[in-house]
Amino acid sequence: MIISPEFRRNLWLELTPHRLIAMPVILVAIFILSALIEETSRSSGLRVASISAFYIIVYLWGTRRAAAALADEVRGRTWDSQRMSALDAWSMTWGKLLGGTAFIWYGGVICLLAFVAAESNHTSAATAWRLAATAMFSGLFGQVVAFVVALVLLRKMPSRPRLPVTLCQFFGLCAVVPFGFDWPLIFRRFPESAEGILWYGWTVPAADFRLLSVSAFLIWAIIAAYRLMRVELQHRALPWVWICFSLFLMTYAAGFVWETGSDRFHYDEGPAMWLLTPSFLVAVSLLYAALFAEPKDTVSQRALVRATAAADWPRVGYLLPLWLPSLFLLLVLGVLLMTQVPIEPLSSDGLLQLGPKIAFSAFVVLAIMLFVLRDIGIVMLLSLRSRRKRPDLVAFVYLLLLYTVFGGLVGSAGWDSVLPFFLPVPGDTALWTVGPVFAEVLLVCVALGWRWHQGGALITPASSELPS
Amino acid sequence: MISVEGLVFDYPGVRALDGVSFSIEPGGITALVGPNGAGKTTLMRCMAALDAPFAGRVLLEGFDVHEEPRKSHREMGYLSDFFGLYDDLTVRQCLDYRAMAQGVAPAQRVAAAERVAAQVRLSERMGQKAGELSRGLRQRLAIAQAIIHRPRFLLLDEPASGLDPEARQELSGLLRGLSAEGMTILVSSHILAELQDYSTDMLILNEGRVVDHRAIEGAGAGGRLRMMLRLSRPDRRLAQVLGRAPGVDDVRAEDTGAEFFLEGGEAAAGELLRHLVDTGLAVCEFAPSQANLQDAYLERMRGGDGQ
Repeated sequence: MIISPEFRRNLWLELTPHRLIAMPVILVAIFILSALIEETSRSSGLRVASISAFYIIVYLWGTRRAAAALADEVRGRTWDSQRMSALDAWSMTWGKLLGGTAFIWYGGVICLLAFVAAESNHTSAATAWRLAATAMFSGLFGQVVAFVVALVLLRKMPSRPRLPVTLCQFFGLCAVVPFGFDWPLIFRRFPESAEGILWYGWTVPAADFRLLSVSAFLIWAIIAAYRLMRVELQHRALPWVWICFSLFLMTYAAGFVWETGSDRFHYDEGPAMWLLTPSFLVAVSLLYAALFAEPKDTVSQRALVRATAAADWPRVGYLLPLWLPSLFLLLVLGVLLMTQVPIEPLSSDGLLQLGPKIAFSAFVVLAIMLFVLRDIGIVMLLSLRSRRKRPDLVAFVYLLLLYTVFGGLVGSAGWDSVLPFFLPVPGDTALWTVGPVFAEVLLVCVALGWRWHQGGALITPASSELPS
Repeated sequence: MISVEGLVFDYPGVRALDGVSFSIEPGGITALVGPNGAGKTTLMRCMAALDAPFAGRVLLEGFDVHEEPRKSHREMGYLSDFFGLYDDLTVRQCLDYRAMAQGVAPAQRVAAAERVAAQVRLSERMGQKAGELSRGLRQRLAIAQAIIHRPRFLLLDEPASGLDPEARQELSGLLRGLSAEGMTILVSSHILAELQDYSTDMLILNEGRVVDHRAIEGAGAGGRLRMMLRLSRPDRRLAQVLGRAPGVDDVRAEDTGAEFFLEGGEAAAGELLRHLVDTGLAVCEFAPSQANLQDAYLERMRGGDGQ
């Protein structure tokens, strides 16, 4: 099927004759006005107006529309009938993404064409098209991210009649920021950077690097949207995509510190060291992302426990929460990192006093892993309370308080010896670096076991034995 | 055609379906009944492969609908109790989109849309926007969307809710017509009297368990009749005579009368009556029971707690 039915339906709704006429009329009026206002250089006025209009339409409005493509179905109670259709996940994904934002891109393309025409008067046509491509891919990336967040939220709150579109839009805009803006070049406030980005020892022009990066992340975002749509359509998915993305992100991040690690770390080991440290930090970040993004209801947890007990490995594979492979990666990287860094802390002043550089010791790495385990326990503990509303939000606030408010208070009060209770920092001794958090992990584990057996996750079935 | 095996479904802290098993033969209309919270909607959503069960499986023509959800959706139609329509699309666009989404061949799409529009009597409103239709017409459009791909199995969750008596009558006629075309239908509703108009079987669900699954007497399914008889004078032999009679089961007898089920339809009823009279029982009333679906439902809900 060449044209997705979902795409066609969205075109019926999005591209009405009125809209098709109104968009170019309004945009052309704005462009003419901006060209007339800019007396010194009309093309400069057009350039700023066209790219600004593109940002507003594609970035700001487009991220909202992408999320609304799904949220509108949920709100209008049409999502179930869509899930009952014979449409495959890919057709549904691109049909919604491009169809739901068809009107946005109609306006966006007009803006980009105007921008390229104006920009070509100042730089080469190749540069103008490269800027336009970066803006277009960034906009698409932001929209796909907003759509992915909508799918994630749909899985987490299936009974909610509405999806929080503004939250999805926020994440979409956050995704756009690192790639989507090139104000210095656009406004000619600064000379074009000649230095470029240093990545794995290669110096790549910044604009080219942004274009390549956003293209790569766009591909991953589309894969994520497709995978989540498959799950939503009741297909079973194994966590390979997540693992591959984790490895990609680790490799990508390591490129930035390959030869500049000494600027960022308080040790200067070899390339393996630079690869391990950013990979470890990326693994930590991805674990928290997966932990909060995945549904953690008691039913799915019991289903996983039951499948594991029955050694039903295929079922375990698709019930596996994504934070578990991330935890495995994190622990492997953490252990490898511990073998590469000094055993004792390099400074007894604590991490906060070391400035912008990171001073890992083996015990600090171990402490980070223990803090991660503690946090997983806290999140799961709150998720096991079946009647608690928004357990993830509660857990997020608690963790934020523990790390920032309590950690900050203790740090600012000068009670450095108490700091290892709240932050993974060097303690007075190596044992004191990990001892407090180890005790916290034990405490959380006991609470988790108690909560599990209390019935937080268990339902006594009416029949004594579950059918197979 | 469709069988449910040991279906268990949990919501956090609540078991909604608890080992539900039954099978539905092709061609009939099964009424899914039960009190609020019995698990009817959850069961339908699991059967439609919209929600994955904790345990158990649903087999449609031998394949597990949760293993092959897309394949099962080509064979199924489902109408939720709270359905939505694309209000800004015309009836024709709604049906065309649905036909495309269900994989109806392009050459057959227009014909399919016109066929279902005629079935639900919306042919005159093809150019009207869905948002401008009345509640009854919206219901018809939703049913048309659910059947446009000629599914072999149709699930309707409270399809008559909010309809006026005339629209309900039309719905009954439509369902009977679809059943006559060979479609197997599972309908949930609270309006039992209406279900009796067109249902051939009844599936009672309570607290997530199947309480009863039986053919509705008088519906002609296999010629099974619910019978009642009355004697003009008491006779202690009644229960014994009925118990030994061929084709008779589920006997509830007193000395002056009895209720029971009889296999074989009216011919068997004639034979049985002759046998009873020959035995010397003073039969003064012998007829199919007038007990309706509601009576049967209430009877099972009071007496049975699972099969």
